[in-house]
Amino acid sequence: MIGIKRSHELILLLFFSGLIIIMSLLSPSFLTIDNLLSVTQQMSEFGILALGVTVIIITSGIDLSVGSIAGLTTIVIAMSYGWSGSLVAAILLGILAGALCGAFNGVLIAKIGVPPILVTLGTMTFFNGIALVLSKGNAISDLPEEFYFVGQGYLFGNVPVQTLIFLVLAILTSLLLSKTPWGRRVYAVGNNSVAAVFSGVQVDKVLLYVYIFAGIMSAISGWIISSRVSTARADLGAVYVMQSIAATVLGGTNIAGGSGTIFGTVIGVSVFAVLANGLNLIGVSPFAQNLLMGLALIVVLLINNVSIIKRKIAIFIKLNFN
Amino acid sequence: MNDLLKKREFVMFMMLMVISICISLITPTFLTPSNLLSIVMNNIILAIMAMGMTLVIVTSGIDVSVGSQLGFAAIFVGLVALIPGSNILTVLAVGIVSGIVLGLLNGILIAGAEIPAIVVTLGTMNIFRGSLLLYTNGKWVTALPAWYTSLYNTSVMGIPIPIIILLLVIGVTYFITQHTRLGRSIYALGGNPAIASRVGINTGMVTMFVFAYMGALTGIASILYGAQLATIDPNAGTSFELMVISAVVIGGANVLGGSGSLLGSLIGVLILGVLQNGIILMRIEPYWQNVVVGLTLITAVTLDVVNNRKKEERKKVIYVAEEVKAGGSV
Repeated sequence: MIGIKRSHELILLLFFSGLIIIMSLLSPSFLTIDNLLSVTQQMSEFGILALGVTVIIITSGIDLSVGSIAGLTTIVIAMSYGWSGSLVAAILLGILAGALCGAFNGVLIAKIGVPPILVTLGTMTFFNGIALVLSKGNAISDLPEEFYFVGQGYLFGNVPVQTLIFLVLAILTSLLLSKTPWGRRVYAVGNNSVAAVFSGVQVDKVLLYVYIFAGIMSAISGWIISSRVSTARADLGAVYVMQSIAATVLGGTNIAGGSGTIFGTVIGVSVFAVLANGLNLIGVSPFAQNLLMGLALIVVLLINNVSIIKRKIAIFIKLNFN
Repeated sequence: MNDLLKKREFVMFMMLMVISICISLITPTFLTPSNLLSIVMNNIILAIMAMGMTLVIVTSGIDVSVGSQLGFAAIFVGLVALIPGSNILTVLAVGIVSGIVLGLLNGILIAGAEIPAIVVTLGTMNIFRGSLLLYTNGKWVTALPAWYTSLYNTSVMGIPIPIIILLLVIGVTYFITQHTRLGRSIYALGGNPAIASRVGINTGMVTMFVFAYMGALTGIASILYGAQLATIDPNAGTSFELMVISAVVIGGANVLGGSGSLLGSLIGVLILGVLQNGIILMRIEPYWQNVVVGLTLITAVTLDVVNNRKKEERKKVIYVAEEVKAGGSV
């Protein structure tokens, strides 16, 4: 089991290094500190979403609603700033909204037992609907200057603020998963939820917290996105949903649950970010990015499953040509 | 098992009726023949693709690439329709073949490399859309010839062609599921893949078939898509996969595989279509639509789980009672 996981991370690291070498050969401006920092800036928003998604997928769940939660958060922040005039209160309310959305998913999944993909397919539309109703479908852009710091500001010279936030959250999530009893329970639930029940894990409680955690991560991501684009809009997080799931899977988290690391997810997210940034520098059409992201996902998994493919081809040849 | 399925469809049908009655009480225009026809006509593409998705979900698979497939096939159909000398048959062939190729690619990756369906189709969703955008450079296909666009409005023996196509698709899919070995294999595979392969079902072939069939139906739907809109956007069908999956799931198919019926999925399509139509007719601001659709989906799937659990508990009670009657210890 550990051997399989290691081999996937190794393949992914090799793939990632290859990608960096190719990009820096093709474009001299790729391997500069400024550009690499801007890559980390671009990956933070969906990287933070992917942290929540990773924890969920480890429990063998899935969350399609993270983008809608991010979008709803942006609206809640902007509107509650309009009412209260306090930015801190607005941001806290936004994150609370994210946590509540996560709890809504969590209750349906953990307490009632509805499959995660169905719940979040529904709440993806539902949360987006709430955001649209609240904002009457409009973008809100009367936000104060200080609000832009998180998405557009820099610390320690030229390190983007959201890069630091992503780094801190990634380390925290990684510690949470690997060093706390809660983390061990998350893996236990994903490995075998029946066995987890018999060994005294309160599966419903673990799942509930996992979805709340993802809700909070989505809210933080939404906060950063709206700060970067200086507006709040219901559809702001939507593009990142499939990307964050794909990056998590690319990073070696098993979609069937039980295994996965934050380190892997960060590399998965980096691969997508480097692809997007590098292709942009070389001047390749942005349309090619979709294509290459999809290909990267499939190719890495094909390499990962190469022994299965070999076996199947051998059987096929034996059946048809002997 | 059959009774159970029938009951599930009956519940969804009642839900459809209740929604329809509520809407028709508020707005008299709802229950007019022309409006009912327009609900059907506006959801033909959804219904055709829902037939394929039902089979995919019955095998416990999922296909999130169908929106991209729809756009891909529609653009190719449009480009072929623009070539002088092409006719309905060439268009039909191009649509179906390109759909089958895309679907089969999914099937091969899922069955051959044992990568989970959701992961494969997540990847191919991006690959199909990306290559399509790259190929068209984001340009729309416009100025489609009249013989092609009239396909949507022409009637044969008083029945519009899209409805005839839908009926054919339903008929063929029904035949496959009810009267062929393949159909039984599809349900068997979804019910329990290990047992299915032990009784000699070639599970890989069945998987490849359902994804290819999904592609073929998407190809057919793409022909109607271009004919309906007369221009084709390379972004056509973006996030349409979620509508298709929602319809099938509202209709009662189990994402864990093994159960799901064509009739249920058609009712699911109608529920979505009626809701959408009703919201417009009742002049509710359009941004309420997602709230209503989302809540419908959540309610349907939650009720399903609660009902199933009750049934299982009842079964358990009966089992215990029989044990006691037989003198066994519990």
